[in-house]
Amino acid sequence: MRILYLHVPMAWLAMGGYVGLAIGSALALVWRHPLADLACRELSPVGAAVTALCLATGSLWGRPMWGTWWVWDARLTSVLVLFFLWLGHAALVRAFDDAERGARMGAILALIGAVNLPVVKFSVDWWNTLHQPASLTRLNAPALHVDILYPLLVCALGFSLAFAAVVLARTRAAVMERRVRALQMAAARRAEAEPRP
Amino acid sequence: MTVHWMHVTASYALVLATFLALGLGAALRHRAARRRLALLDPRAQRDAVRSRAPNRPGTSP
Repeated sequence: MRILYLHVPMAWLAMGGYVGLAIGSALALVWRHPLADLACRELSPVGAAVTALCLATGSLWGRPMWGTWWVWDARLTSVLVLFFLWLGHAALVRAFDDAERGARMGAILALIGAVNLPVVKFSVDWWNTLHQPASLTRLNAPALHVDILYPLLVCALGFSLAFAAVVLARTRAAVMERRVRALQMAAARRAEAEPRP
Repeated sequence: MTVHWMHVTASYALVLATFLALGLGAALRHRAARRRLALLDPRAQRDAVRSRAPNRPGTSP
């Protein structure tokens, strides 16, 4: 039960973060917002990390409860696909010499990958899975007792703030790195233009 | 320590270590970028010095 306070917030962050990635990618593709590109680039490694934590904590919970570390059921497999999408995005945006082209390719991958989100969410309803159905739904009363529900919501809020802080710090550092590169290029151009003795 | 507690401890340690590594990585990257920027851009250097200087009483921050 104690692992629930880690596993569930990680799962929410993995999915919520991917929604953020898809929105950022749409902003970058349609309106070509320069900060959206950068934020998506910095978001994907953090998203991959929380999805890996979701899978790892789920596995550590599953071993004593289900008697196995892993089963190829719909929920676990769709979250594994989500993990590969995060990793794929992180790798793709860094794979091109032209950063703008890499960002565009990454944005397309992120938008296509968003199809996986409803599959993750509804996999426990659409297929017969070993993973239990959602305990918290918008329409029904929560299946969790308040003694468990409130600490879970506090944990989710805390991890969400930590996630946002890490992404913002990485984006801020990336903005500064981009400025450093621009200044280095300008200095190199100035040095090239100067007449040699 | 029972298997149950080993799994719980491993889960918490894993999450803590990952978030610490992510936070530390971001802070180090930010510090390195700020230093390089201060070397290249005198205006950024001036801003960095100003932000580090303690506020004297009677002066605006």
